[in-house]
Amino acid sequence: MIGRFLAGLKEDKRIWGQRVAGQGVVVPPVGYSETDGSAGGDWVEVKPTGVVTAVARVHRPIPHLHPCAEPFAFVLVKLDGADTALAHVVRDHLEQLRIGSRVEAVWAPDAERHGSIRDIACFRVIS
Amino acid sequence: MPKLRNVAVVGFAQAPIVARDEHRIATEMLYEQVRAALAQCGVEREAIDYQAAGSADYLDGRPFGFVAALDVMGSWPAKADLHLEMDASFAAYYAWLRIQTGDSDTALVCGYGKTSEGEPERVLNLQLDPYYQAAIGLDPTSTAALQASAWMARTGATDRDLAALAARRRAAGARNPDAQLHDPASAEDLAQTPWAVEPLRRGYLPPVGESAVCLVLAAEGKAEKMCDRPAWIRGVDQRIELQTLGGRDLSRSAGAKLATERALAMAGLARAAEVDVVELCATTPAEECILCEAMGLDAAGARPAINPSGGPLAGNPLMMTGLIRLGEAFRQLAGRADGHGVAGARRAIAHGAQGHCLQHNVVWVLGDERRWT
Repeated sequence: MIGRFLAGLKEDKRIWGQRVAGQGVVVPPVGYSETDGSAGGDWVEVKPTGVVTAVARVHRPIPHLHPCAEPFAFVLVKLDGADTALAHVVRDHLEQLRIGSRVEAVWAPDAERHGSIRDIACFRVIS
Repeated sequence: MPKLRNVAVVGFAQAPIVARDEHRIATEMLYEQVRAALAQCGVEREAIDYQAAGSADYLDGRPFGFVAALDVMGSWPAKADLHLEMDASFAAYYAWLRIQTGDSDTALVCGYGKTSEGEPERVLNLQLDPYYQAAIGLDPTSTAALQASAWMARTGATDRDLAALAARRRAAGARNPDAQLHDPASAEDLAQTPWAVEPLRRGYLPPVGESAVCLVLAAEGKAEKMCDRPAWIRGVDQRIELQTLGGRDLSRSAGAKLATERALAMAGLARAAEVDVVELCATTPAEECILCEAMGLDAAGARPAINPSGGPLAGNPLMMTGLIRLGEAFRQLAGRADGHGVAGARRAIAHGAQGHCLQHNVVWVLGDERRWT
């Protein structure tokens, strides 16, 4: 399940979620319901845009742990079409970032997508 | 509610929390606490039927690091033992459960670990799933900041609110000789400290600290002989939530709410506010407010007294911060809290937590009288 989701990022720059009992459309999917343990259901493509539900601004990144060396923000993003939020980062225009901001996925270049959550390089603020 | 065995906390010893113990390894720190806890109870190790510990091999820096603790816990002749890579409050839960089975009457519960020798931000990244959350580099301060931001957005709480709460806990910690931070700080001062991860300032978070603790549990019949004022366990419950942070409402703690309701029901209490003392395993002011809301408590109220020890904001030794809450509840009920005692305390709640953003919560309800007759 995780492989199928990551393959979508790597090969098609598409983001897939899974319809799960008790949770709705889960992105990123883990293949089962975290609330009742039932198997995941239908795959549903969601948009690469969404709304920020939490913001943690990192002023001093930790080397070799955090994904960038410059100040950035961890965010939770509820993508359009999803019912759960994805943990990721925003690197630019941090002054415009707040809970409720709309953001869009920024893709890593083709040669740098390896089937990882970091195939989405970051999110950028669009409004 | 079925009738259970009455089990009490009868002893508790804690090394004062320090930034770094330069001279002793973790098990040496623990040995003194085991000896002190047994001495409080007036028994030797052969009086102990069962033992359980909470520690992290990742902090120890070696696989099966917990095995070294068996020597200092007094495991020979061989006895039943359990180790959790969790806060030792959960080890106490399993020890309580073991005593309920009837094959053990007494238990040692230990928590230990030298946080200063590892890199807790990197170690605790490994508590997250490896594909989505650990892989993006999340550390516990950042996840706590995500949670604080969600809670502040929902409630309208401000930076000043966090500073004011942190200052109150620092003032309380100044009266607790085992706390790490002994110097009071004003809300104004704390609000001037730099961001740890915004919206959390360094002044709102405990520094890296380490300790070692040993708590003794005993069933009715033995407890009274080991302690003049046992703290009887009247209710306990633990609940775990989703690992995926984005699958939860981080601004609330559904798990702490449910565990509190179940533990209070077991204890025969209607509301958490009926107790005199509450010790919460909250490592940020936002976590503390989220827990208070989940439990139906007023974080700024005078009674019940919340974290009169200063709580985790005045000292947060990983893997034992939750067990210290249980030990502090015992100290309050047994009249051993000295400088930070709450006058007339007869009932207490002790909370323990584990995982990012209060993922797993255990709630203990204690009292100076037995629950079941």
